Amino acid sequence: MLEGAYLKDADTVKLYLSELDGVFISLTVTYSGKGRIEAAYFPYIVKKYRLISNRTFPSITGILLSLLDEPGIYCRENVMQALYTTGDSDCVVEALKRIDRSGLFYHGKLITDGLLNFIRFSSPDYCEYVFTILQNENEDDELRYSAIRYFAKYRYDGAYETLCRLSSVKDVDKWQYAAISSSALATYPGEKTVELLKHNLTCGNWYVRYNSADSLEKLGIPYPELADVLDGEDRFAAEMLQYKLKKGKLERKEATV
Amino acid sequence: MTGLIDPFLKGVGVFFLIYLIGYSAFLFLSVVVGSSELYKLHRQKQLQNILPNDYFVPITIVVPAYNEEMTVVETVKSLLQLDYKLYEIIVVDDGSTDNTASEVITAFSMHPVDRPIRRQISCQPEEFIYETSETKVPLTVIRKKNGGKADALNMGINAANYPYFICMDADSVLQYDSLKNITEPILQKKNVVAVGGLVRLSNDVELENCRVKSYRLPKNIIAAMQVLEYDRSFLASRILFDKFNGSLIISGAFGLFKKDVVIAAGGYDRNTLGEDMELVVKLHEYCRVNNMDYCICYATDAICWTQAPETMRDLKKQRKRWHLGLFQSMHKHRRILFNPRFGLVSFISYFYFLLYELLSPYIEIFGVLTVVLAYLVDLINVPFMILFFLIYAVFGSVLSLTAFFSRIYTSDLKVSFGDAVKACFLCLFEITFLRFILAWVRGMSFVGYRKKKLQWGRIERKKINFK
Repeated sequence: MLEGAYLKDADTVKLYLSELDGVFISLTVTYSGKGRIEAAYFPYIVKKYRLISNRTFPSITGILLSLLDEPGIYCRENVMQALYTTGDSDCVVEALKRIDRSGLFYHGKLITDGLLNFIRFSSPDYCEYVFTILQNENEDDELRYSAIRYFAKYRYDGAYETLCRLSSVKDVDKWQYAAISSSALATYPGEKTVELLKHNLTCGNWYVRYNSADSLEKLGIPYPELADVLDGEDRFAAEMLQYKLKKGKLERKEATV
Repeated sequence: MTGLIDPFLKGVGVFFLIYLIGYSAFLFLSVVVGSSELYKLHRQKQLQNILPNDYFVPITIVVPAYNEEMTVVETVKSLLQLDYKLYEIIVVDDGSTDNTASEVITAFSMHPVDRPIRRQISCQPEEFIYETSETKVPLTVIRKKNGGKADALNMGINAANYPYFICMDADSVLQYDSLKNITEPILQKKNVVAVGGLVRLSNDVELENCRVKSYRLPKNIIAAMQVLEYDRSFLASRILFDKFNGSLIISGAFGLFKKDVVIAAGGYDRNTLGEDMELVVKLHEYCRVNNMDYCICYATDAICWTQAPETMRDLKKQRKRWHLGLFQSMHKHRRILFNPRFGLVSFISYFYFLLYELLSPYIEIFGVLTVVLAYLVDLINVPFMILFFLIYAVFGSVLSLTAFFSRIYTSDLKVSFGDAVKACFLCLFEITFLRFILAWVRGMSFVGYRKKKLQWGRIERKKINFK
């Protein structure tokens, strides 16, 4: 019923719910004492109707944090989604620490994608902050991959050297950094970028070669500059580059039809 | 002579008593666990225990096809309508003698490319590759030399760009939310290496934009009985095995796998008819031998619609093939049996499949022959036998109906009163007749085995009822 009313007139429903703060506090206590499925529903309601959106509500956030100890993934995810709506970074950090302490499984993708949405990675205003994440080698790998992808989307010259360094990582266990950085370099045209990508085409890792060829194609490097690879002795590098150049040509042709 | 027959029949009686108690207990437990699990999932969905829509695990959908010119374009069109963002489609034409590849290439205006394939698992070489990026997600057609379904799947894995792949049949339709649902276990649990989807029969079901528009039991009785049989096996036993990470089968019609683990384990076995089961058993073996923490799950809400055979001839062919595949997989991985290293996979899953799936046709045929013998020597109480048989049929039917109606209720589907009555009668018929016919067919599956070793399984294809 509430969902139906919300679809018809969201503002009135929000106002109505904001007048029911006291009721929600008691509901929080009731739901948190119920089973796993019901416990997960409460944070969903908090998120959906933005009951704690951009405001302090310690009694509800406190109980939401305690729900993070529930073993069900849905409860944890709904709590995190509800906490993201607060815009309170301290609260989100506290929640992540609590999950970490609990030892319960919470997939890296849920953390990184959730955080990316929270700090609005979809805008270029966070370059410096994201750069600190990228530089911190103790940070979670998934989060650093997301940071590289952020700089692929939003050009930030301050990150260029780091991207170049990461694209040349030799450690076989860290090939993901080289592959994702090779892809990100397509946003940073220049002689150094081209030389690095051409060098990466000879890398033993398939994904590094694949992404490097893709970036060279995106950069629109003319054939004479790539002749040394295309006519070179490394057959794997030449085949990959030929494929990407031809594919790019077809895609442009398809786009113009 | 009678002196020998009497103890023989007594021994047989004791064996069957234990055998049937074991089977009934398993069936009862699996239906109860399956139904309650379905109800729990239904309740979870009602109370918004779902992950938000914006988490996408990248997936490659591999569609192996052999002489599928009639259905393959519709299949690809349906795949392009899935409610998911991050996926690609690779159709592998396994040297068809019809126009399978060209139908797709023409329908989607695809272009030839010289794409290098990273050959991590051995497979027959490609003849040509076409791609297009004009579709919602990247679409690739690879035409290769004939090598069988497993070989085509291996080619698809080699060409896959994403870390997870889905294998499916070219005559199947995935439900609009199937990709989201099949990837959820990956986000829920640690170290998921494979997820099985729920296969449902699409005969007489009307699908529109990958959604069920109208549902009914198939008019064809053979197909309708298979609906009940599928519900019993998919919704019951597979959910139970899932509880202890003991699933041994993920249907070839719809399953998701972690690419690097499958490659490390050697990919699909090209010499096995039941390549889907063999892969799952192999993954158990690979992970346990290498002391890997792993999980093979089952997503009951990830739905794939597929066609059931509608003639006894096609049904027999399919079941023979499945039984041979089961034998090959179990024989190849026989070291799992009673091996403590494999835990419950060995002592419950493998043992169950050995006793109640692989050997059951022979045990059942042997049981019928013993009844005939006992009747001939007048050592059987006929009224009691009939009563016992009726109790068995009613018990089996009740469990089949429980699985059927649980599935209908929890999927928010509706069946007409006529279909409900039809289901009740067909359950009895399936237990009392079809089961024994199929036991005989499965028992005879080794006749002509060598000849058919590596052929694609063919059944009569119909256009999918898909809009």
